[in-house]
Amino acid sequence: MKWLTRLREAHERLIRLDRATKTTRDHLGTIERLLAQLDERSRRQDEALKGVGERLLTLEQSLVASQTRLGELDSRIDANTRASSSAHAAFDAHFRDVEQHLKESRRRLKGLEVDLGAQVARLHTRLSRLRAPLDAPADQAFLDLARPLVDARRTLLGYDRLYILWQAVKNVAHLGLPAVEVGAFRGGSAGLIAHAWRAAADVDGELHVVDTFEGHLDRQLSDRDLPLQRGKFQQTSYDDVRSYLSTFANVRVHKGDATQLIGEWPERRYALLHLDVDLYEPTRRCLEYFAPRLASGGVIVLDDYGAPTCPGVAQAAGELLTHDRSAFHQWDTQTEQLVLIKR
Amino acid sequence: MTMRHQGEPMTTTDDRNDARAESSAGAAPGTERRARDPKDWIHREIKKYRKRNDLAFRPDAEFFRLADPVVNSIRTLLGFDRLYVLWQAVGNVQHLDGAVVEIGSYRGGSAYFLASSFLALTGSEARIHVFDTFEGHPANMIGEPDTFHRAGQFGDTNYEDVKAYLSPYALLEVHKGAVSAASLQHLEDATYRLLHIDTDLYQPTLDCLEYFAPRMVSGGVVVVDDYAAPKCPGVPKAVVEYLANSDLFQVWDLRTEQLMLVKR
Repeated sequence: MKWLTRLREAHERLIRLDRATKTTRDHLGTIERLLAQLDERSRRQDEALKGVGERLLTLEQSLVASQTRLGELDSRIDANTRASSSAHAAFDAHFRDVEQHLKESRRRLKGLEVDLGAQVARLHTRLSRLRAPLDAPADQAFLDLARPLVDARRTLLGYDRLYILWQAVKNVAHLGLPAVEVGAFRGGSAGLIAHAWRAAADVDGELHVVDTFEGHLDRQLSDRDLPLQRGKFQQTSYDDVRSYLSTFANVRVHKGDATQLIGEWPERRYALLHLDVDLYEPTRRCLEYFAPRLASGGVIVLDDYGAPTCPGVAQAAGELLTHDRSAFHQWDTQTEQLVLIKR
Repeated sequence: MTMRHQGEPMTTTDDRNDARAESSAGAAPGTERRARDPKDWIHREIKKYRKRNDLAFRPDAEFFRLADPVVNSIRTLLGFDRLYVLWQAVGNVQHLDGAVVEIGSYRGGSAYFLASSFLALTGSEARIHVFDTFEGHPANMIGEPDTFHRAGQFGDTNYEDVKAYLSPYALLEVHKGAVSAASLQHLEDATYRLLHIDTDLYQPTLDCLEYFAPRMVSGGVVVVDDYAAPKCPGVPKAVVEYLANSDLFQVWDLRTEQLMLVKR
């Protein structure tokens, strides 16, 4: 019995073994399948790796290419920088040159401008002398008088301005009051005033003629006047003008600075002021003095009002008068004169 | 810089110059262009001042603001130089009382300029009478001294048109008809401060001076146009004749061919 039991046991063991073997075989199958899967996967990975490698290779190649180009660019930038810095330096130098030139030209231009201003003023004067006598039906008496004055260069005024002056005298002669001229130069316009007075009123009017006879005084110039005015109008002389005007018994010639002389004059009223001083300060001072002392109906003829070379004159008149027309009629006669008629 | 202006080439003539040339057709041949030509005058005189804003004097921007449209409209034959005289006249009578009269307004340009100048300078309108036949010179007005004028000259204007043009100014009255000593009697104003006579003829100029002179206020201004114009010999004849018997005025003969009288 023993062996039967043993046999049974053995049989059972065999069955178990068989079962185990079967399981093992199953396991082995599974393992094999897994292995196969693994194999497949690794193969695929290998393939992918191979692709990556290839791509890496191309990348590497392009990297090298980029580096080469970068190097090239670098060197080109270097070259450019060098070139531009040298150009910059050259430009700087050129700029400094140009600046220097400009400065110099500006300096020269300023000099030229002053010269040109003086030339223009001279030309203007000549032009006004050359200009044909007025085309208006002016009095023949005026032309007969003015022509010798202009021809003898006794005055720098042209016929147009002298005609205004002539008319001023005719309009105030009946007042019987004295006339004043400040800025007489060689006495031509004073002569015209005196002649006109004699013609208009049949008497020799009292006329005071003021000039430094030394040209513009330096201390009279202000920053409102052009520098070219310095030292102008020196080509005259007191004695010459006095003898020229000596035919008129009532003409007095005063030598000196008008702004000082008028301070010593007696208080009185005037019929006419011909103000031709070209500069701001004396224009202003004389207007301040004479405007209130002018008789009603009296006239101020302000020369060079609006003349480009005499900006100070217009400024002085503008500051004192032109904003208020209640005291004076104001007429810009378009001859670079301003005529003021006291109301 | 002045030299450049003087050297500047003249631009070509335009309608305005043609109109002017037409009006001076009666002048003696060979008469040179006069300062009244606005272009000439701008170039010679005014242009430089337009650029010089630093100077406190004339011709100011306000003048050009009013004069430019009037000149460009060809409603007046006056150039800038003569309008500038009128502009100053308005400035000089702005404080005074009395009416304003223009005789010979043609297409109304100068009347418009006067009215707008008063408005600009005083802030209020002035009482203005404007006279014209609106049919040109009447045949019976052209006397012996008016050598170069013919009937109907300056007739290319129209009463209705000028009235409409001047209608913005309520105190401005337009009168149609020839001016004579008799017709002026109808005016009701007692005093006048500004008179602009632009008839070109002998008789109406004399009539106006004789009627208005005693009625002008002290400081009042008379502007006689074409006093020195060779084509209007009747005007200076009338003025000289009137002034021979009158010392009511200061007399200023301006280079613009205008005569300016200031009542003493």
